[in-house]
Amino acid sequence: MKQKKYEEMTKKELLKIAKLHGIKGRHRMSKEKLIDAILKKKKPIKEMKKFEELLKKENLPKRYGENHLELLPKEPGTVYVHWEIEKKDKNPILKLLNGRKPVVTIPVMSDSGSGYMHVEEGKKLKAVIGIESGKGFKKIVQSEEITVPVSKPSSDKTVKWVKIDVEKGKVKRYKAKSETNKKLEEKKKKTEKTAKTVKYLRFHRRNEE
Amino acid sequence: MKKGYLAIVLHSHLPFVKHPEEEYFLEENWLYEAITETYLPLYIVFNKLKNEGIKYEITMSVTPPLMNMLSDPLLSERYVRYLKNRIELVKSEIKRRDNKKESEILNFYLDRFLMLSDLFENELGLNVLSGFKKLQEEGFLEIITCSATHEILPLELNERAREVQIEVGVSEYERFFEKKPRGIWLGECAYTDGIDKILSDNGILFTFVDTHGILYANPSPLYGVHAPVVSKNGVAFFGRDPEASKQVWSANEGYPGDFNYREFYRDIAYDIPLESVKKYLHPAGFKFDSGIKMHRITGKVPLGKKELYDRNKALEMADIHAGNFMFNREKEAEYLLSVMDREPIMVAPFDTELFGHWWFEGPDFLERLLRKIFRFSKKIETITPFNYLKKYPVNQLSDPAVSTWGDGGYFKVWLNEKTDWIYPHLHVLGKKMIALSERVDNPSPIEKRALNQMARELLLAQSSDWAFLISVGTAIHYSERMEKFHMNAFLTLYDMVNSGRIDESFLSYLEKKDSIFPKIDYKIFRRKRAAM
Repeated sequence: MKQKKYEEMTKKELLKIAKLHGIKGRHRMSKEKLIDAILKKKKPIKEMKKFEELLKKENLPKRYGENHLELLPKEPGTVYVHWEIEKKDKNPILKLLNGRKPVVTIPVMSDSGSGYMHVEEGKKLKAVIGIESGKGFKKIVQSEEITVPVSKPSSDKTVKWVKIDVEKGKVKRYKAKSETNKKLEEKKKKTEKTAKTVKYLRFHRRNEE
Repeated sequence: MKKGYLAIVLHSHLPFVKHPEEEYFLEENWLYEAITETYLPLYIVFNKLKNEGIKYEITMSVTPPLMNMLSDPLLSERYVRYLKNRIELVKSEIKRRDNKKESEILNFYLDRFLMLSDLFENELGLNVLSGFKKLQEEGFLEIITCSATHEILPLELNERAREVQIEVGVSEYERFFEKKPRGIWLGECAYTDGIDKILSDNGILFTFVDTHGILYANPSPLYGVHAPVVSKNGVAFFGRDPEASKQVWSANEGYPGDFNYREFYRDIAYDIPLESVKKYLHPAGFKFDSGIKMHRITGKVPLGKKELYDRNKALEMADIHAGNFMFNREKEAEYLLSVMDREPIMVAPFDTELFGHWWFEGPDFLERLLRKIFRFSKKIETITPFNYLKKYPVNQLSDPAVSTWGDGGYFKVWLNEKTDWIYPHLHVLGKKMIALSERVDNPSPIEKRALNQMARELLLAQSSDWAFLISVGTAIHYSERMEKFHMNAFLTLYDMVNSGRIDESFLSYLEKKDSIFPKIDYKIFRRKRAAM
């Protein structure tokens, strides 16, 4: 439906629009003045919309023409990897390294791609892409190091204490004695169970409808 | 002697949504609904208790996007219009309906909206933050900050960008609350090793993680989630107590699902004539929640079969539930004290918007709970993490586990097949921002404006909300659009800066629309090494 032109509107209709735009003193204005005031208020909005449309339409670059390698933690035992490389070299290889030890080695078939990989929980990992040659592994690009999440309590039961000075925000090692007891361990196990059954409410009811 | 402490933590956050280019924009209502249903009602409850002489301690996080929106003149002005429209709508419905019971409910809304409108415009001077700030100064609230745009920090790969998220979170807090924050809420409680170093470098003393963040910490914590642990970089971590939060969180087995409470999904907007929708809700006649809901949950029945809301009955239930919650915490504290050598802390964190927006009677529940604990409980007291640390400064040394408080406990809500396209872009954009900030030393005034705006667009693109909303299937189209919008805005400005041809009208449009962090300086992205 085409909108009525302002000239064709009654003063009452124009007053409503003027109210929406917060035009002050509108009741004292003539019809012509009202139209002028509305158009003046609308102008910046119209200009803004032009940019809005422009940014809405623009697609993000598929590639940036640079070497990139991203490694992200997803869940215990799962990581996400994404890469972009300038494919001048033949047969690049992607490795996931724990320290210097490779835990995954796969050939990279395309110059950009992504995927989820299964790895061991709790490991610190880094991804690298490079070329294997007679002289060894030549790195092209490498990711930041991440920690893969774990799904169970630590077996390390060491108890060390520190003292926080809340006023100064300083922390000091502190000698104290306290030993873990059986009842408390049971309580912790129960807590873990409860935690896993709790899902948070946010947006969930809406989805159930 | 008290047997334990309850730490209620309210996490207040909304994504930065501001659309000056449209007179009425649906998603801006997220803010207006939260002010009407949550922030103002909570402010009323907190003040009422204070005036009754009741002592309580609540921790409340306010994220920088929310701080910025609550202080934005355009949004505040539009909020006044939002409330006025609702007042007029209720008046017209009172005229239109002749059912006595319905009129009673409508009059309840009329009184409520008029009171809120007076409170917002006259007492609070159009800014809810000022009210909470005062409550903090009086010792009832401890307000903490959040990262700049609620980013999932473990999914941010540029170390400097991670640091900037925290630094901006701290400086924005100082801008609004005129003191340094002692605690922080990490967006979605997302934690991985190394973040504690950034927090301690920024003077942050404590933060929170989900239950398994503590239970799977290394070494294994002696007291589980009932005492904080301190990481090797000296930050105290408090873990969510699932028992204390479950009854409030869960819509099925928890309190909010009680049949007497107000039904969220049956809104008057769907029962009124189109003329009224156009007049009071949206000039184009779009139907969306008005916030006026006249029915109660009733039971597992279709929306059409819901019965009318009985406010008094609902308040009775809020009272019973508050009593039940207190009783359960007392029992829990009693048991815990018998197996621990100090009084336990029970940390119950919630999204603030649960109270009032999702669970209409939430603020009434909280009011009754805090009153009961102060007046009647011999066993528990409310406390803030800071005051708990003051009381028990000696804690176990342990590093929290990689975790979030999202569904599943890790990152699948934000990193999955629907959203994983986001992160490589953020990585590249972050690298570009860092490099540019280090390269450009003496920009011209317009270049400087463009660079500062790039910093804003990057931070907005890093917000976790867009990925979250895409994953849970709410406002998918809008969220995808906003994610791409901020990235495109960044890249367009990047090209303009590099080519030396900056379109001033484009820049000023972005400055007006994405007006968050007015004081940001792009040089914040310089790496510390490079700055020296």
